[in-house]
Amino acid sequence: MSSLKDNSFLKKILQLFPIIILFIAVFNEFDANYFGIPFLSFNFAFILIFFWTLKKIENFGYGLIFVAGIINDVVTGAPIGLSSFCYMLICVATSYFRSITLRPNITKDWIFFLVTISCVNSIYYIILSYFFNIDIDYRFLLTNNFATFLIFFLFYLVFDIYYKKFFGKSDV
Amino acid sequence: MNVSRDDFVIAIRSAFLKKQTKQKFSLLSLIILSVVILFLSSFDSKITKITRSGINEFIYRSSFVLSAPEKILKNLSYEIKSHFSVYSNLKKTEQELNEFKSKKISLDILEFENQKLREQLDDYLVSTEVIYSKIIIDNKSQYLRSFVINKGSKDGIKPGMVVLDQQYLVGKVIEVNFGTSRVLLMSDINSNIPITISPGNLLAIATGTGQNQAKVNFLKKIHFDKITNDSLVYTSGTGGLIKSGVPIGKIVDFDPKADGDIIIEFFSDFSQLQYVSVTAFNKITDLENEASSAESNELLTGPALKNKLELLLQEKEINDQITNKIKFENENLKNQLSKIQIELISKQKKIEAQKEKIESHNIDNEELNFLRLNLEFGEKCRKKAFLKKGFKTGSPEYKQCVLKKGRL
Repeated sequence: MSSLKDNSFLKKILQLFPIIILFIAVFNEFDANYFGIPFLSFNFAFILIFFWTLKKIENFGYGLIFVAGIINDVVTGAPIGLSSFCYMLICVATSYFRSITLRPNITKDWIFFLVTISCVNSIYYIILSYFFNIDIDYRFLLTNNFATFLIFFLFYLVFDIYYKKFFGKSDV
Repeated sequence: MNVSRDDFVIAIRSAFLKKQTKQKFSLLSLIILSVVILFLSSFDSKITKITRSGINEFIYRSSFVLSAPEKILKNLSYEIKSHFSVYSNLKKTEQELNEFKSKKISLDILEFENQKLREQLDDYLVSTEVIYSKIIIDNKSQYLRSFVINKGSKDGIKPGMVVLDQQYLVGKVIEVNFGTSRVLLMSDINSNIPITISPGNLLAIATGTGQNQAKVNFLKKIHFDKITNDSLVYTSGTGGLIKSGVPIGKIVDFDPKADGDIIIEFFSDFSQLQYVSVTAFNKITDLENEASSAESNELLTGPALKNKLELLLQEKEINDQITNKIKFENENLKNQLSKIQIELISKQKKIEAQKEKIESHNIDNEELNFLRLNLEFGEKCRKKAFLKKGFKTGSPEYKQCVLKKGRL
């Protein structure tokens, strides 16, 4: 592992890995349900953005998240700018949460994540329904919201290991 | 209290305005930018259209390239599954093919008749040009059911054109870029297609459910008794965008007593689509007008004559098929007639034999009745030595007397 850390190119790639994953996720629309069971659908981009902006890593810039949102809108066929707006709201929430938290722990992050994505999904639904007259089934949105909340715990543990390995301890 | 409020304001201000380490943009500026983009995207000006088309084009192509490994994995798993079930599928397909072959001729005839009748009604729509295209992005989002195809305005695609999988309806084009287009699937909840439910010829609207199905809307409950499971759903042609009779799917899990939705299961499996055809339907009269004007210009040049000849040949072929079909039916009817005649003769013979049996049975009954009465009233009817009354035993008068119960 030390040889990996000495290799600056590989280190850079590993540090860029979260943003690369975000772009792959939005290009492939990774939040979709691959198994055809509605309850397994989750929004992977929300999990990525929430975790890595909360950890405040250098390479996970707001500008790149904004571009990822634009790509997500084009791929899903939603009005351009909507996902960027939602992603920025998540960034605002994590920035606020980081500034008010003294001792971060997984439970607090998890609960705050539920509050954040619930608000963001509500805004998403309102904008689509009332401003663009695009109907979406709110039941899917609710199940997606809940599934994203549940699965966040799992990804949190995985990302935390990765974070500690390649970025050092949390600066929160 | 004031201190905590101040803390909250400071935290919020910091969240919105403060640029973090190595962040080039503040969140507030990006939020404003996204709102501006959202606002602009709701306008249909030429500049926004061109910009949006350019962005879409670039991102669709990039997404197609980046999602290639995922697609390969998906196809691989599908191919492995289909490989293991190849034998059973082959047998099933062979059986289906035989059934379809026998139905094909009847269908051709019906189609031909239908076409002629519709021409008379001035309601016959034909597809002007079929554009075959490949699906480049199909990510099955939970919210918007759509996919992107690799043909755009440069290939003649226009918004509203109909998308078919073989002959089954899939959806319609909602967004057209230079080299790509987005298709809204029938399963999307924003999709509304006028339909006819057969049998019963019920007119309604099919609305997507957001899953791989659609539901029937705007149909009164009084018509529910005409619907059964496996009732077929076609396009009704209302609105003139899609021609009538394009198959969509069939009704499943229908219970007329329950208050639930009437669900349509599509004939086409949207999860397995790779190639689709895009087409627009125009009235045949429009086309004929165009053709006649072209004819007057070109005065039946080579290609026009060739087209006419092809049409006539097609018509002749259908007529031949009709003749063959009628001949075949005649032969069948003759065979059936001779069979029926043979059956009739044998049944007549049977009836004769049974009649004879019944008659003999009736005679037996009469005899039995006479004997029974004879025992009881024979003494009264028989002629005695010193009396004038009575008849000789065995004479017809004696029999009559016995049958009249001894009344002389």
